[in-house]
Amino acid sequence: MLRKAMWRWMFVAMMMAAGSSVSATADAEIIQFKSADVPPSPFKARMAARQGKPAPLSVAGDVISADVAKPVGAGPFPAVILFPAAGGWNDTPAHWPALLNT
Amino acid sequence: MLSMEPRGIRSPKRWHTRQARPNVSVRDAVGAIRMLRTVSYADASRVAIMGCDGAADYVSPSMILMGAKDEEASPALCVGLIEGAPVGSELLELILYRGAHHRFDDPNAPDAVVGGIYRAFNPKAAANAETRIRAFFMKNL
Repeated sequence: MLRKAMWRWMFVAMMMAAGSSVSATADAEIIQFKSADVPPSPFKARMAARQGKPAPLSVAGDVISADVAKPVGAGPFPAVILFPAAGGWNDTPAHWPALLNT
Repeated sequence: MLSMEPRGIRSPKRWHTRQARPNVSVRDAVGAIRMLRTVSYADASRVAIMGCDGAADYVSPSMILMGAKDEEASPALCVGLIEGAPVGSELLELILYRGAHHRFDDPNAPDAVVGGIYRAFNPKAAANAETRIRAFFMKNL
């Protein structure tokens, strides 16, 4: 925790809903938020217009779980949003919060 | 940049599913920034996005760090991305590490061909990338 007092940046790591924590600290917080809504594709909009149907609606964004690791204190802190690689997290991004803050 | 794992999608065989459409990570980042606006501990006006496997959907300043011998992501395409970037993208940087392969920054990369892609840790390139990322954040965040 002593070292964390020196952190400059907070990290928001996208994670699996039931996955393991990617932050290096015990007091990380898991949060959930909604991805932005998905607008209808231009093709769907064109088809609806052609068929005289009402314009298609956006689809609600998926619920995303993320692991928040932040410096000690109230903030507000600048933030880094971390995305995993295609195959999921490997060890390097899992350690980015501690690695880059030191 | 891919955003499958936050949805529990780990297998490439499932990347065609509804949740795995193009631009999904952009929408996830938008969602994350909206969330950051609602919490007192975050400064949502100072946000960086960091990831692996392609991050070309975002804005300048951006920095791409990759192995010049990466067989999964294409260094040639990234050079084209820089050359074709619109006016206002002057702070889009590409660093290619000579001789470095896919996952050069991962100490646990197997130093072997996995799934047709050679993956190997490169300590010198990894250390340099780490320094560059920290400096990038210090300057821009």
